[in-house]
Amino acid sequence: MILHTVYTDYLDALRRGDRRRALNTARTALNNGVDIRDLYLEVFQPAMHEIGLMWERNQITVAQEHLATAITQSVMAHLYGHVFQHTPVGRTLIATCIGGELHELGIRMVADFFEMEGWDVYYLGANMPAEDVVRMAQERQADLLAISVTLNSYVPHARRMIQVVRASSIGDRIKIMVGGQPINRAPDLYKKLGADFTARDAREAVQLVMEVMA
Amino acid sequence: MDQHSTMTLNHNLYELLSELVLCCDETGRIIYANPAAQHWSATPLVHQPFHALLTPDTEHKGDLFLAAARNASFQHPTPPWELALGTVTEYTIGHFRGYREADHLVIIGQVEPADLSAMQRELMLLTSDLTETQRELHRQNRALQQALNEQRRLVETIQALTAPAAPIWKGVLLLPIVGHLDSSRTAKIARKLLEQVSQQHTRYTILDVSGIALIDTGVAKHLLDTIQALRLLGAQAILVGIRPEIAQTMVQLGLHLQEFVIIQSNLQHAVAYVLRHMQKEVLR
Repeated sequence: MILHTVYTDYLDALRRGDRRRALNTARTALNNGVDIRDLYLEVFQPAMHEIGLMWERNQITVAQEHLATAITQSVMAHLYGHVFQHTPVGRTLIATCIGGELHELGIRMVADFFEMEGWDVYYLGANMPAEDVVRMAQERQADLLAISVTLNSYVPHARRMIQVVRASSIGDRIKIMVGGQPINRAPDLYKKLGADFTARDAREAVQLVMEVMA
Repeated sequence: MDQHSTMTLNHNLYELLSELVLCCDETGRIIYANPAAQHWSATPLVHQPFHALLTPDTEHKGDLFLAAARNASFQHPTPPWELALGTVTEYTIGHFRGYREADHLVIIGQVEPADLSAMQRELMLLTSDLTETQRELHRQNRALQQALNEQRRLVETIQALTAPAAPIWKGVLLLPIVGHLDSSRTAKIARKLLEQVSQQHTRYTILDVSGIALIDTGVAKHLLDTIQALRLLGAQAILVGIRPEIAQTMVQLGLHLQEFVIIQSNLQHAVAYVLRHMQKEVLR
């Protein structure tokens, strides 16, 4: 119930472009005992989804949508201190996103969820060339590569990235996880792309990896 | 003028406009696009669905816009809709209005100056970069904190491993000091040593400082204070293995060592000195 109130307040702050209120809402919720994971999945994620729908319905402008994205990114950065609760577990995740910068939020949440479990996480940003991803994964001796695919038209890019990673020296060792709307819509797509698994959201991703890679 | 010639005349006018003009059939398939509209697509737009003009992430919004246009008329067109043209990473925003005319949809768009879209995009990237930098800083802080904790544990281990003093003979203590000396470590060593000396009625304490790399004036002062305290407890201090740098530091302090401390060049000489003096005392 409290989460829904937080959600309503947060969304309202985003609609008004009120960065301070958005941050206060999130901070107050944390102080009242709301788990940061719930804040991510029950407040930030649905609020940004709603902003996206409002933009699609021509109810807000591109500038307002950008502002809402920037506010949420900044709120997440402010709360980043809360992400580290766990002692390091000696596992490494490389996370990257294929698509525009407006769609990075999901993979950033995945990155944070793994950090909350004590993983070392390297977020490579949007549209990093496959070769650079491989180099980074080699340097950091990554256990897991998470690729977020934001749009249907980027599925071939993801396929190519996975091919390059599989053909590299770490190809046999590293696990690959893909996620994003086009992957969610087609249940077996992740297998066809050559990934090891997929997850609908950050929480499911962490749970799955804990089971498979325990 | 019949309808066909009206269309032709209009089309001729449309060719000259800087606004984007498109005609679609009921299903949203493009039947006409003026050059200003065609400019935004590498492939011919005619026969393509309307959203071929748009970026992939605007497709659905394009469909919603067409639905609104179907219910609008020339007198009451749709309000302007923002739709993105180009690619997801290099888009430009267009403001589109639409309305139904007989069995087709008329769409008129105005593209905002390219630099305005680019500026918005750059701003977005900037905040994205900034928040990521902030996170990276947090991450580095955590790594630093971990390294510091690790170092603290190491120092504690080393300090614990350094036994303060070992009795090598009745009434004789040997204290080898190894590694880095700071004020807090020197103070700890001194406290423990003085405890041992008073408990064990020590007469001679050999301080081996040859394993100390560096000594500052604060530490040297501490060491000399300890030696003075030893004398008060009735123990003679013998310093061994003073390196030239340390000797210099001690001289800079202006302390006359010889008055209360015996200095030997190595441990063997120190032990021999102690044994000789103990023998003398027995003989006396």
